[in-house]
Amino acid sequence: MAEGAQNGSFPVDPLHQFEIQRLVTVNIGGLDLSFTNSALWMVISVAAITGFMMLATSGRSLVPGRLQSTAEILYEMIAGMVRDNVGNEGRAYFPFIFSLFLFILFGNLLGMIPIGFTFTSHLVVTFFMAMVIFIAVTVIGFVRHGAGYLRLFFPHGAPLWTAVILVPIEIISYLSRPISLSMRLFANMMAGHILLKVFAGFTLLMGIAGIIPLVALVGITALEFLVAVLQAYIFTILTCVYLHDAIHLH
Amino acid sequence: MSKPEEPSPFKALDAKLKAARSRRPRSRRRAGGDNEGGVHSGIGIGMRMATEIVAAVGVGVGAGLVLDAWLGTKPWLMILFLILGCAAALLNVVRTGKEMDRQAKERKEKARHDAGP
Repeated sequence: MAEGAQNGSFPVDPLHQFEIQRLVTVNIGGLDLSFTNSALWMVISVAAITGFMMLATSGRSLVPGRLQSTAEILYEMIAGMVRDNVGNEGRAYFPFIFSLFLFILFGNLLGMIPIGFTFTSHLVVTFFMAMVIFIAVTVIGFVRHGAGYLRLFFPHGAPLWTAVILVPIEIISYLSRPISLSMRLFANMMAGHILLKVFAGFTLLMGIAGIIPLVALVGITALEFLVAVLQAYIFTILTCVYLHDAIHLH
Repeated sequence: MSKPEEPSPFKALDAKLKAARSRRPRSRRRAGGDNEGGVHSGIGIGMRMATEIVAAVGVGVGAGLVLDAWLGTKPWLMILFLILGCAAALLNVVRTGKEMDRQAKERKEKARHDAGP
């Protein structure tokens, strides 16, 4: 931030917010396992989720209050999503999908707090989550169907000679899943946060006319909240879709 | 104290809810639903399609480069896999489109079902 001001170019460094800072340096056998601000916000979001769910369900009233309704709406939304997209067999995976949704949702929303850090705006984090899902889905597919899962790579009823072209295409399409899944969340979160910072910079630069980007900033902030929720939803629903493909071969 | 009176507040609430529901114009409800779809069709679909394309082409080129380095067939497998990656990207886009179509249809069906009774 100070660097930009010194150059006299742009008052805000839009990428500064994504910087990883070591809070507690931990070094085990040459492995850098430091507790960073990213990790801190993951812990905060897990704590917030746990606190929220425990507080919301502690009353267990028949007629839910505001907090309990919020928790129930979230629960029913994801339960419905799993039922519609995966089917009855998907129930076993509901706890994982619900935790995943809440983790991403809280990560995105906590990142909207001005001092907050958005851990979902790092490709490493989203790619790791996508990779866990990808490997899990592949394992589930092979466990359920054995080698028959490989039929996924060849469309039913196509002439055999087309396998030469179709199988590599299907494999590339399959392998691109974790990449598109992680990239979508990461790109959306990062682009939105950069946009916010850039407009904030315009506001500082333009003096009295800065009111125009300030007005735009209000709209963009609202849009960012929408994107935060929507991206958590899309990530979760795509996980359900992939799970469906693994359980019911198409 | 509240035990004997319990049904009455619910009844009152029920009546209130019914009144509010009937007051709400149907067209506005539909407009709300459409608006939701609008958000989906705007940024949502665009970003989804874009990432599907980029990811598939990226995986194709990456696989080609890795195989090239491994087999020593410098540019050829990369070119081949670039083409295959483009095909996979198209496949992904078509599948995503079909998936979105199915979801939109389901949502419409559900909305009709909700509006019915």
